[in-house]
Amino acid sequence: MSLTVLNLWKSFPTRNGDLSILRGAHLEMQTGDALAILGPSGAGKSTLLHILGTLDRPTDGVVRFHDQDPFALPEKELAHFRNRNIGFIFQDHYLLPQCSVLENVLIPSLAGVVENRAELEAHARALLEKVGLQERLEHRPAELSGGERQRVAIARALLFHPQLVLADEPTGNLDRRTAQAVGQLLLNLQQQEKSMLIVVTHSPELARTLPKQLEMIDGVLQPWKS
Amino acid sequence: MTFFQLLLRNLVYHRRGNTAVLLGAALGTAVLTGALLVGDSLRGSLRSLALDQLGWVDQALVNTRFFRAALADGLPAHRRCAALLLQGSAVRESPLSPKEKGEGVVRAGKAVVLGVDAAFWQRGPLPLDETFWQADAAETVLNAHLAGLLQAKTGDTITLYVQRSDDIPRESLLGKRNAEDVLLALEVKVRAVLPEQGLGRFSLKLNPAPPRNAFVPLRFLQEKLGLAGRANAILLGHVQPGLQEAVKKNLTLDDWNLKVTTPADRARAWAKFLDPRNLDQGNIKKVRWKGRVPPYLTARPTAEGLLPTEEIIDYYQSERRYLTLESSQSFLDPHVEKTGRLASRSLTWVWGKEGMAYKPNDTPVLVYLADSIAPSLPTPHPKGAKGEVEIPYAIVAGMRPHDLPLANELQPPLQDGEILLAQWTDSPFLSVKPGDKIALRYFYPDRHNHLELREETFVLRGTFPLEGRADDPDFTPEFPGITDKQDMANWENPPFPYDAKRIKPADESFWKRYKTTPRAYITLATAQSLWANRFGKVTALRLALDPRWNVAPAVEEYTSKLLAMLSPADGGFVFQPMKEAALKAGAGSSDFSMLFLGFSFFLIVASLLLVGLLFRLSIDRRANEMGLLLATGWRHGQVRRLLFGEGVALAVVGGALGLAGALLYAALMLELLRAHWPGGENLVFLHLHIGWLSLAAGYAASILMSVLTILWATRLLARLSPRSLLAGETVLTSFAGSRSTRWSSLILGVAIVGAACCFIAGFSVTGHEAQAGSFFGSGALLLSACLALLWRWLKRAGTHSSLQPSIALLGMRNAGRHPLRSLLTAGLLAAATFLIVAVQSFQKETGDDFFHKDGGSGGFPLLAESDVPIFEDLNLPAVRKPMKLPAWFEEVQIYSCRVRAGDDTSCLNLYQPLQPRVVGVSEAFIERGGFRFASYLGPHGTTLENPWTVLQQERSEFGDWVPALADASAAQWILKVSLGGFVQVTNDQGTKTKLKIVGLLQESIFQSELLIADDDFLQHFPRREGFSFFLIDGPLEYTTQIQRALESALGAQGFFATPTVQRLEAYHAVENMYLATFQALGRLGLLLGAVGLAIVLLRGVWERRGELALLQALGFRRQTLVWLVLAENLWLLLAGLAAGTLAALVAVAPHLAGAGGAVLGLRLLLLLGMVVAVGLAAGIAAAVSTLRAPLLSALRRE
Repeated sequence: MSLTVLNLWKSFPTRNGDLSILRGAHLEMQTGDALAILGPSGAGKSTLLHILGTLDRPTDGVVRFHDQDPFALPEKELAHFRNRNIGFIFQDHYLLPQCSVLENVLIPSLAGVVENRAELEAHARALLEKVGLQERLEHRPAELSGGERQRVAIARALLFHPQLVLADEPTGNLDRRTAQAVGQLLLNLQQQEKSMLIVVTHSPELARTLPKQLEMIDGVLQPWKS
Repeated sequence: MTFFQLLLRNLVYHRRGNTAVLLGAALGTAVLTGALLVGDSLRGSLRSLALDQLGWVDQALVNTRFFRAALADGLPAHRRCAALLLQGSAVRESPLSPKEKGEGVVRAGKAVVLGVDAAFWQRGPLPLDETFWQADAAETVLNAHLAGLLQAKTGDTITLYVQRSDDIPRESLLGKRNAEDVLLALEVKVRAVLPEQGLGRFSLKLNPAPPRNAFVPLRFLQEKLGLAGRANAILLGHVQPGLQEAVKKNLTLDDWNLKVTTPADRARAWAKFLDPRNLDQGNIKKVRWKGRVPPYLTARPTAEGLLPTEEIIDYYQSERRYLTLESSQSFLDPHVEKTGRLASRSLTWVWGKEGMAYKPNDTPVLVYLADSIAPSLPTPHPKGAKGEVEIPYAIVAGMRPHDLPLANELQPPLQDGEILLAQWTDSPFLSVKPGDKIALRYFYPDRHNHLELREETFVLRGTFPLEGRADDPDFTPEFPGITDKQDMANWENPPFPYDAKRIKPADESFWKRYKTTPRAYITLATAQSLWANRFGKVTALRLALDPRWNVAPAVEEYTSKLLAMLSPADGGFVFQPMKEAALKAGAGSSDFSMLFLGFSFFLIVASLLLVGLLFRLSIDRRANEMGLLLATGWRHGQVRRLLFGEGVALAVVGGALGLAGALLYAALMLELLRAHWPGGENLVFLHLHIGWLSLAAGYAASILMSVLTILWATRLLARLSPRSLLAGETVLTSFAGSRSTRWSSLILGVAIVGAACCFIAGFSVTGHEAQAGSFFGSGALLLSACLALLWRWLKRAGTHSSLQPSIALLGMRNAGRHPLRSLLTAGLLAAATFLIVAVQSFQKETGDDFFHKDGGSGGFPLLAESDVPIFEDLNLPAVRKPMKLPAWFEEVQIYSCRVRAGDDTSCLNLYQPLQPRVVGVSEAFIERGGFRFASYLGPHGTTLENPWTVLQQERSEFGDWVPALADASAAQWILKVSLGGFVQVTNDQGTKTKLKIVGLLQESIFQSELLIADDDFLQHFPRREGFSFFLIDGPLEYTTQIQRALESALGAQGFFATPTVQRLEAYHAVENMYLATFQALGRLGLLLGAVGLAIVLLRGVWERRGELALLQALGFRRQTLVWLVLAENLWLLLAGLAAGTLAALVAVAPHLAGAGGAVLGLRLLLLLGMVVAVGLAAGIAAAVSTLRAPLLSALRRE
């Protein structure tokens, strides 16, 4: 699967008129590619991620997943597309505090019909084992450390073998050591799943662990000058 | 984990917030369902009360006439009881001198005297014993209510006053109308007091007020009234089919107060007249018959000079051979006359072997007692002037010309305006000749029963000898005290002006020989034009009998045909299905469920708003959770379904809890009604009745409303992107020119213009309610405008920037962060303030012009009712003289009205009025005018100087309705009829009379009845005699003295006067009580709004912990932070109060300008003070929580 972004624009209405955050961003990725996007605050990194994740719509421009424009899909099919093709990891993990670790990983499965729930649950357990949390399946998020919560979020994002994994500051709230561990874990899993990975980060260290880096400057993606 | 499991997990995890939502839903359910249960309870209580009051009685017959008690026997029912039911009053006098001991007379009006026997009481222990009820002791059993009013106990002596019975209509010439002839005092000893339950509460009238029953043995009452073996009511229980047929079959002529006399009957009566004590044992001595019998009989005595009764009978059978149909009521009811004639024409009398049939000729006769017959002298001339010869107290008979005794000799027949005079030996008219003018003077009762002397002049057609058919005293029905007297001078207490000195020896000799034989004949048409009245047009119907017939079979056949043709309904012999009527009336005069729903409306809305607000807060708090679900591929619809499912679960569980609260709410409302109903004791019968249908409906409705509220609260989700939700945003940012702002501008403009129009209109519309509605509408629109303005401000505030904002301004601007939340909170406070105060404008008080002629009292300071009708004109000096009234009483004018008893149509009667009370107003009252009309139907829509004349308007040829007036409020809310609408009442003929509402009186004292003209009243309710309703016009400053004087003079008749202002205040008290209930519930809603404000503030503080912590880290003191929080609170509070107060001031503008303005203003201030206090308390609570919360920990993200 490929990802193509052409001339992407995103503006937000303000009291003083529209404010353009993305001003014609271009991007192309293939299956298995991993990319870090850096840039100053307010540059539009997260905005780009949200659009790529279909959480927001562009003001102008094109986004295509293997020649398919997801924004042309009706809401129901768009949600399904997001459910099966995109995995999200946020800076604030957003685990549901009332659910256990295993249940949090299985949350995406409640969005649609699953043919074999038992198989999916086994897969979820396997993912949690991969992230080293096999002993914590029944624990609640409040009982986990920050790094552990983020690992749960990673496992949740990979439940349906997404084609595209988007991570928005996945290590932003973690200490350095934990951040390194989580970052590496993310990469390993991405390579195993052979999905595309885009990581938005302020951390040059994390960025360097990925094969490719771009920088968002004035709403446009440019090669990163480290 | 499944979707459902996640839903349940969410419910438990977010239990704090969910509990608040659940309680809000429970409150809404409690109030809504509780209101429905109040309606159920009222209806159920009314039904229970009515059925309890009826006891075992399913059907009842109550008549204005007295019939045989034995009529009840043989009727198809398991329980039967004949009774005497009489309206009256009761008095207890202290045995000690009032002067010495300060105790006086205790009176109780509206008492019901029930003459019953043992059959009345249910199986089981009777009050006292069967012997008591079958005997005739002068004793009584009171119910507790009457005993309490009289302060009487067992062993005390009381006096019951009822109307004497008299078959002769009191409002006819021969009717007795003086108080001493009308009133019967029964001194009785109290043997027992019955508790307020069971048959002690027996009543056939549906009214929440407890009855005032005095039970006496039937025989005792019959004896005192001179009605041995008679009753006026039959009560039946467990009625079987065929009742009306059985009634008709069992009725006899005696029940109809009719008799058919045969020649033999009249002969024996005459024999009895000659020998009243039967001293001669059927052979009358000469001393008794000499000079008293016709010549034929003078030749029939025995050698001893004894006249056998058989001879008299033979004479009658040959010379006076006819049947007579007569009534003890003097006149034959029109339907009896008509039926009597039809019955005679249906007879087939066959005689002999020839088989020939003959139909008799029925002869209607109308006789009248003239004051005098005299030749007509030139006018003017003093009565008794020299030359005037008169015959005093002469019987005049009206007959059809061909029925006259000497009809064969008169050609042409006697004409209208002509008179035939009898001639006898001592006649003073021996010298009169045909063509002479003859003056007939007679007394005729006017509308006030004052006997008016009238004169009619006739042309003498001729004279006739008193012999043959003309010699017949039986033209005249019997009248005890007159027709049974041997001499005219001994007439006993005649009810007409009588001067024994006018009777000359010639008159006595006439009486001796001819007794009540007519001295003159006129045509029946003329007689009827002069003397016919609502009681009838004839006094007898004669059926001539051919000499070849046998009398006995003729009588039998005629009687049976007559009874078969008489309709029991015409005679009032109709059983009413009392239990059915009770159940129907128990539905109530108003839809109480809807009424209390209306009262609770604001509280329900407030609780729903709270539910929505709290649920929305919950969504705000869980925004990123929802964003996460969307990011993982959940659809918007799925997320909404999850939230909706949680909301439904909360609504269902909360609703179930609310059902328990509904019982409590309903019980509280009933207690409120019991405690504050005017004359509070009247509603002690109210109890909680649980209607399962209401519970189900209330539950379902409240769940539906909660669900809709939750749907509304979640609707915004559809418009928020997952990105926004992840960022915790739940507000759509909009700027000037956005759609919501455009809408608010439109609302603002329309509302302001509308408010101005309504305000101006309020000064020009007439009518309290229309005016109140205009100002209320103006206020409501102004409120909408204020809220629209607030919305615009809130939308701008969130994006406003200022270089150096103050703390207060910062706090105020913070309200714009969640404009919808802020608007809901302020709006709730504003609406509550507005409603509670503005509703005050609908409060009714007697206006300053109440006592004006055009005001609600019509200029009457007093109105009165009497339990026993009064037949005299209370304005006549002769009537007032015995009352020993002060000199200034001359200024007092009393307008007497007739009453057809029925159901109270005012708001004081909770029962649905099935047969409204009808009052007949006199022509003088109509001419007087006054009162204020809300509207009326003038002829061709014209404006009338005196709208009362609509009662006398010409009706179209085919009009079958009677014009009536009603109070506007009673018509609208109780009778549910508008101007031009119809109300049906049962008339005295047992059929329905349609009353057309041709006028509506505004804020009048006539809420309890419908008013018709006296003429119409007499036509449709001819059997209602006397006056029981009085409007008293006199100097206002003497109101109390007038009241005391009249009640003292007429107390025995149960005369009770009420100041008109008191009557209107009683009506207003009910309406104002409803308003007060609305306001009280509104205050609860206000409290709920304040709770909502507190929750919103606390929530806001929690949300902004980080922000507040940052400010603290920047050097802001805690006190400054508290002020920041308070500023937002105060701003919303003051904005809401200002909007509500401004709108309320507009709504109550007329009241503020009026006399009660100061009081209203004070109430407004108190209310505002309460709201400010509650709101401040909420704000301080939020601020205090700010002080206590460890803010700096919020700076840490983990």
